[in-house]
Amino acid sequence: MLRAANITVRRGGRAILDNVSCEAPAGRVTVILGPNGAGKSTLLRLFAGEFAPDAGRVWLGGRELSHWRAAEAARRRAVLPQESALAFPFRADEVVLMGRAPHVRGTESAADHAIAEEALARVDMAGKRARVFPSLSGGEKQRVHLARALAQIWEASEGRALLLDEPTSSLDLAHQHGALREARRLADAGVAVLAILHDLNLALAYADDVILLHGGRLAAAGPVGAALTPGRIREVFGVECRFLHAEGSPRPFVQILPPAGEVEAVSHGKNG
Amino acid sequence: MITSARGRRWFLVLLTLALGATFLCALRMGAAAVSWRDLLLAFTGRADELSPLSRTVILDIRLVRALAALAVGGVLALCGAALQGLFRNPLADPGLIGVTGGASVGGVLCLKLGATALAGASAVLGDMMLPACAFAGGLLATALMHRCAQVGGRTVVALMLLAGVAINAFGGALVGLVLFFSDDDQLRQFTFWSLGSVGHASWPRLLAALPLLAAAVVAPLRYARPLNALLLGEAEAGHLGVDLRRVKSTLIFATAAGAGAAVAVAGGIGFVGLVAPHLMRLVVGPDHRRLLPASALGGAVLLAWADIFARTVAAPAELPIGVVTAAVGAPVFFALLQSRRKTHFA
Repeated sequence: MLRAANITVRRGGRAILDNVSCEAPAGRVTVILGPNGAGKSTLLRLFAGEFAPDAGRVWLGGRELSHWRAAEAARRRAVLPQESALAFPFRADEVVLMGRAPHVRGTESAADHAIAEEALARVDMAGKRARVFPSLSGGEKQRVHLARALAQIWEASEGRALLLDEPTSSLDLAHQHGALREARRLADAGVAVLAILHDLNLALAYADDVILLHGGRLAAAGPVGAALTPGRIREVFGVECRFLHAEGSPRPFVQILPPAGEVEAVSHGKNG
Repeated sequence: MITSARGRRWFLVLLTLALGATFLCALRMGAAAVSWRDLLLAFTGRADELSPLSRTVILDIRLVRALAALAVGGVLALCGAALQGLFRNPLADPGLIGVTGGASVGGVLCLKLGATALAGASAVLGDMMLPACAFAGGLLATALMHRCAQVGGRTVVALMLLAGVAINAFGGALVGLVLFFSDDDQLRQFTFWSLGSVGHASWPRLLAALPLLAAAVVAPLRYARPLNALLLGEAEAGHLGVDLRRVKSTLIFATAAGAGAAVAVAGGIGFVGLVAPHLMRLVVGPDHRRLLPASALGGAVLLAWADIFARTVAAPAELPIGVVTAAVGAPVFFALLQSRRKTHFA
């Protein structure tokens, strides 16, 4: 669905992305992982159409992104930004209704209002729909924006894509999982979901595929089980870890270990 | 804030009625007495039954002046609202960010050089010369300010206001230079003009500015929905399918056209573009589909009353209308700054 081939992005002479090829197929949750400055947001913003790469090509569906009209692309691709400052006193439901803008001519219909309501309910914000946006907490604002993105690609149709830039960064534990379950549900409905996450355990729990970036280069890509291994995590993030398997759960979780030197010191202490 | 759709509709109806009432008051009130009966006669095609004095006062003096005040006030307020949406900041005003200053430079240069250095262009453009020059000056200033205030695709408010200060200072220097080389008669004309006055409005001037006024009204109203999306941020508006480049350049063009036309008709009138949208936002909320028409109506009413005040408070003498709007607008701007100190500038 979303595909990038040999992408290079340079800023001030430095390559932020260097010859990266990757894809986010329809019906799967693809998670971009990598340390700070690896180029995760840049890659997501390329797919969001915010700028063109200095080299390489990007596709949405079967067509190159540069050949899409902005309004046409917006009807099938929604983006949740990392943070969005809205200083004007719109109500929460009015913000969500803005997600319907690419589909609306004239004024929003009753159906559009119904979609906005349901989208708010999906992110557990139905009770606060009349609240003024700037007065909401950081996490509530993020959930309203998620609802806006959901409303934007609400109707079932071929070739939808949802881009999430750290969708869980301001959310509490329950809502982190709530947001990612929504992503999972959309992927099951055929949407190509591409998300940046920092929490490896959330990635292991919800990702089908991962794109592992390191210093602007692709370190690994593919199904989460094959691409994300303790060895790769050590190589990319510089931390020691091991995968643990809980009884009855098909997916492993990761335990971060103290650096090698400290482990020795600890075991020495025990022996002595 | 009115929250029901019905209430908002009624408010717009009320504003339209206020506009009509203001128009009548602007014709009736002033140094020379005009009765309601005179107005009735003038508007029912029986103007020949009027006394010659009433007739001159109504049809030749006050009618064009009232229309100019309404048009300039409405367009300045609409441009202010559009700029505030474009830059996602309620402090943007055509006067504060240098658009009016640039237009004034264009206008003054036209008045000074129109008959000499720019005579060729004057011959081609005729009455359109002054609005065209003011528009060009305003466009240059807006483009410069926009370039200066953009950092990494975002508009930095402090830079925007500071660029406005710089543009206004430079414009002031240019205007001062022109004044230095002017004779007494030109000087008096420039002074009135730079303070703002709808008293110099005439039919040819108003008609010459009409295309620019129309452009400044149509473009923002057409882009009300993209302006809403822009309030989320430029990237977010792009995600929602807004053609950023087109919307931004059209709106910058339109606001320069509006400021240029306003300057050509009435000189540098400040703060209408700041005060009217702010008041309307308090009543109808931030949605541009309601805010833009409400601002246009509100700005028209506001400036017409400022003009009525300016020419009646010390009648038969007249205050420059820019003095009135600044006296009201500056404290409002100050109050706005105070209320946003913590949220915007901390």
